[in-house]
Parts: sequence; structure tokens; C-alpha cells
Amino acid sequence: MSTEPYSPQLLEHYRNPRNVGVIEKPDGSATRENQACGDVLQIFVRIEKNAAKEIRFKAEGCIPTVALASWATEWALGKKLGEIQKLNPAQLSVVLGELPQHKRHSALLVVETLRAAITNCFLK
Amino acid sequence: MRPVYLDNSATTPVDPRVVEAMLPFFTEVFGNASSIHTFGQQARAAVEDAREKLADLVGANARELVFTSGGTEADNTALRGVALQFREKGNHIITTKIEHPAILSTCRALEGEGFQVSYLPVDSTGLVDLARLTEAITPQTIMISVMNANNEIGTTQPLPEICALAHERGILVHSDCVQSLGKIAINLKQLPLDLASFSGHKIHAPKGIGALFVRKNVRFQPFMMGGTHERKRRAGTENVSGIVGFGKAAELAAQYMPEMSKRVKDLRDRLESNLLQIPGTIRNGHTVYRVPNICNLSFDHTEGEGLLISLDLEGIAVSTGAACSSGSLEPSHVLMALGRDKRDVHGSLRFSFSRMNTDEDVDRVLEVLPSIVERMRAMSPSYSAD
Repeated sequence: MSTEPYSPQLLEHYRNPRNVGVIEKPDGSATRENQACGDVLQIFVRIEKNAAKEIRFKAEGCIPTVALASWATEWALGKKLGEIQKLNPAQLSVVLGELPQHKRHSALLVVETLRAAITNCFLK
Repeated sequence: MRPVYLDNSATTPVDPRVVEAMLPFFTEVFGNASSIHTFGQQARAAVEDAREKLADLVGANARELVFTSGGTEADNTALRGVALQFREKGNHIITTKIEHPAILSTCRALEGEGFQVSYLPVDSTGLVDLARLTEAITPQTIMISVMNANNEIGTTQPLPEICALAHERGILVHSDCVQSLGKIAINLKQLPLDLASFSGHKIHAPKGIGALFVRKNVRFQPFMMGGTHERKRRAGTENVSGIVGFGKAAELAAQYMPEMSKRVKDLRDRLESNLLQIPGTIRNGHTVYRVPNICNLSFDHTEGEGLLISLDLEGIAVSTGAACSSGSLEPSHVLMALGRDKRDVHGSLRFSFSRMNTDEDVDRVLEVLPSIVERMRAMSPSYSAD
């Protein structure tokens, strides 16, 4: 089938997204919307000893937005907050494959939302 | 499991009878239709036979049909050919906001060459407002181009009324009839269009063949320069096998027209009425004035690309108007012109049928799509089932 623009790893995350859901009373959360295409991403984080103990997301967006959010939340789980803040969009393409030009905003949206959720933890 | 193809407005499978008709013209009857020897004259006879068949389907005189490489070339030729021919008379063209890119891009190019173009809005069902059309006409208006049926939502326009308005004022009318050919009756003996564009691959002919209808005595400047082919109206050696295929496909389309307006319409209607039972689903397009094979729906709190690929993984092919689904960040210009919210466009799907679809195809979509929508909504930050 015509799923050529995306790597098998990315599609696997899309079909079986990890960490979907909400955290009641999270230590940090953020919602970001890509104005250009309308994708919305929401990430919730619970922390323990300065590390991500639990992390969940909800998304209304295109395939890479959901898949990258799934991968990024799985990657972030258990990591120190400072380390999570260093995630950049290029890392996502190394792991899940290069995105088509018109989809690169998905990687930015995921990274920005994750960083904002972590920053929100520091503010509380 | 048999794949389900519901993207027939993008293209259709070539009918095996069309392939069979074409085959001799690759190896046996391979002559150049402009050659005067027997090889050439056999090809010429086949080209003219195909022209007659297409003429029969659309109620035209065969001499009024010019074969092109497809609908896009026909649209380019019509707009540019009339604009350049009549630029001394006026420099204003009227079209709509929901035209195919072949029209819109050509209009934008003509704007860069000194022409003025009015892009008419449509109402929430996709219909052009005739009062707005009348208001847009100026003494400089030389042509009105309004599509017969829209490729995304299927809405059909009031072409007889548009022709009447235009002809009273000496203005030519062109219509992109690519999506209506073989779907609804087109009778150019009664419908007084001056120019009309057609494409083969939407009616089970191969890609790369189309036609432009130019009514007798309507002058235009040819788009392709070269030899004297197509009675000096379109230079380039005729694509004989493609033309033969288009002719055969036109003949079959005429035979299947009753089936299109009954069985295929029933399939479309059954799919649509069942999918509309999913809460938060709306129809895009007119309920009555539309071709029988297109259904366009928006599922709120979903995203079109995800729906499309999830269906594709189940072996079902459809299309979407969602932003960033086709190499661009822009949502469908057609759905936006209906006044739809960006979120509705985000979760839109087009299902387009052909005579080759079956009840099983509809059953299969109804079996898998509701759960895909549900799964996607469960992931949405803003969806509430209440």
C-alpha cells in the first residue's frame, strides 16, 4: 500500500501509539497547535526525582505528529528533565526516518510541546 | 482480501475492453495518422471512428472535438486560446474559486500577462450564485469558465443559465467537464457551451488522452505549435492508441450511463447515509445537484491523512482535502470556499465510485471506517463523546 513517504518504524508508532491518554493533576503539561495545518498536540508529565516518571499525550493531527509524539514520549520516559529538554527534531528523523519537506512541522510541534510540558514542570 | 478502490475521481482502471481495442494500434496498425499510405490511413480511420464515438457521448459534431493530451491541456488551450484570440475585444475572464488547478493556475498566469480574472465565490453547497456572476460581468469580459461538476464534492453548476447570461452579452463560455463525462448526460446540442474539456482516464480510458470541444465558428489560438494535426487546432502526432481507447471508453460510458445513475448512485447513497450516522459527520457538497459517484464527508476531531492511510492499510483507497496531505500545507481550496471550518477540512474524505464498484466495497468501508474514526477521536485532545 502507498505508505512510501514514511518509514516502517514511523508507521508502526502510528498504528500502535504508545502513551496515549491524559494524566490527572500532572506536574507539567502543554498544548500546542500548528496554525498552518491545524494539528493539535497535548502532552502531560508526572515527575519523580527530577525525571519523567509518567508521560502521556493526546493528538489531533497527521500521521507523523502522532507517530513522533508516540516515539518521543517513549524516549523521554525515565529520563532527567534536563536531558529531555535537549531533544531536537533532527534526532526524531534519525530514528524514524527523514520526513517529507511539508511534514517537518510535525517534528517541530512534537519537540516544542514536549519542551513546553517539561518547562511547565519547573514553573510549578 | 480484494482491494477496494474508491478514488475514481483521481483516475479509473482501464476497462479490459478498452485495452483490447487499443492493442492492435501499438504493433499492427502503427501508422502515423497524417501519412497518406495505407498504414497511415488505417490509423486515420481509427482516430475518426473514436472521434465519432466521443461526439456521440457528448452530443457534439465530431469535427468540433480536438484530441489533447488530457484535461489539463484542454483547459489550458481553452483559456489561453480564447484569451489571446480576443484580447483586442477585452481582457476580463470570470471563473470560480472551486475550479481545478488547471484552470486556476492558467488564470493566474494570464493575470501576469495583463488579463483580469474574477474568481466567483460559491455557497455552502458549492453552487455559483448567478446574481454574483451577472454582477461580475463587465464590458471587458470575453469568457466565463465554470466547471460542470466539481472534482472534490461533485456539485454540478447551472450551466444552461450561465450560458444564457453570457451569450446575451456576447461572452464565450467554457466548462471543465472532466468529472461529469460519463457520470451525467452531456448534450452539447442542447447545452450551448462554446468550449468544453474532457479527459479519458476518468472514464476507464488510459492516462494521457483528452479532448477539447470547440463549437463550430468559435475561434481560438492553438496552444501547441507545429504541424497541421487536428485541423490545425492542436499540433503533434495523434496518440492513436490513446484516442482509440478514449473512443471505446466513451462508447462504453454511454452504454453504462443508466447504471451510473442508478446502481452506482445507490452504492454512493448507501455509503453516505450510513457514514452520516456517525455523530459529528457532515456532508460536503449539494444533496441534489451533484454527480452520482462522489461523496465527500468531514468527520470532526479526525485528520484526513491519518484516515486515508489507516484505510489504505486495510486495502481501501480514498482521498482527502486535509492540509499537508498532498505535498502542500494548504487545505482543500474547494472545501475552504464552501466556508467550512479548517477543522472540518482537516477531517475530510472523498469517496468516488465507478461502475466497477460493488456492494461488497461499501460493506467493507462501513466495516472498518467507524472504528478508525473512533480510534482517532479517542486520541484527540478536544473530543468529547457527550
